Amino acid sequence: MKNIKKHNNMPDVMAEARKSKKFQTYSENAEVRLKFGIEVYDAREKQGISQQKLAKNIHSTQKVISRIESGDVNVGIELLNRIAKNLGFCSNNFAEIFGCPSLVKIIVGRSETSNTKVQMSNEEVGYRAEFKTNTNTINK
Amino acid sequence: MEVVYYYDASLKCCPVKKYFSQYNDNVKLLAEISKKIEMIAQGNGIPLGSFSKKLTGCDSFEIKQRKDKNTVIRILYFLRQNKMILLNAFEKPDNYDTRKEKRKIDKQLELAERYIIKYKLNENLYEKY
Repeated sequence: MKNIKKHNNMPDVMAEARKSKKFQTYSENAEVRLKFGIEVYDAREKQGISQQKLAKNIHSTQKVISRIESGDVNVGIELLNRIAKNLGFCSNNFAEIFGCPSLVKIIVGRSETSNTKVQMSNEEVGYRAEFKTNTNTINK
Repeated sequence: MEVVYYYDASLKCCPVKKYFSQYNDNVKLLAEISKKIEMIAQGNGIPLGSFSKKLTGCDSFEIKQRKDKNTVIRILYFLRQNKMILLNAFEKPDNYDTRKEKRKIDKQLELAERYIIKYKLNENLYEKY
């Protein structure tokens, strides 16, 4: 049988592109956009909201939501804030998107060592508010 | 999961690899496609978010990548024995109403189905991604 795996007379454009310095940067940028898109899609589906409804809630269009979920557009901070609030994102969502450790885990870990009782809730809306509240509790 | 290109013996090339060759000067587009493929492969080929989905009535899945304002690139793949096999790729306009356009798309989908049959008959029909 002909060894097809060795039969390769067509230039491998993808392999060539991987050698480019820009490739890594573009790839990392795409990863964040895609992870955000997946989080939006999953949260929206879980809550049974259509793209149309979400778009209406955040004063945008269905086309924009579709492109965000596909990771095709770079979302500005204001739109990101509106989406996060509307879908009830918490620190775990952002930890997933940005690949950083969950704030909840860090804070709970710290509170355990200092014997401070901290009540955490994944249902809190907005990771900033959640982070602020719990950091204040720890500081006390 | 290993990602591979389907190799078509009659065409003497890998359709997806051939399709990518037209974007040799577009590193950004290739990086974005590559990341999508990588993320799906990490999840054992299961479609993620809304940029990938299982095609109705087919054994294949698709990955969508926006090329420009009005065009989306569709990359078709299927899963077989821990391999994610990239079958075929083509462009689809956002809006089309002509029968000719629809026929073009259907032809590409049919081609992908034919590639699956050929691959199942000879599982050596692939090249490394």
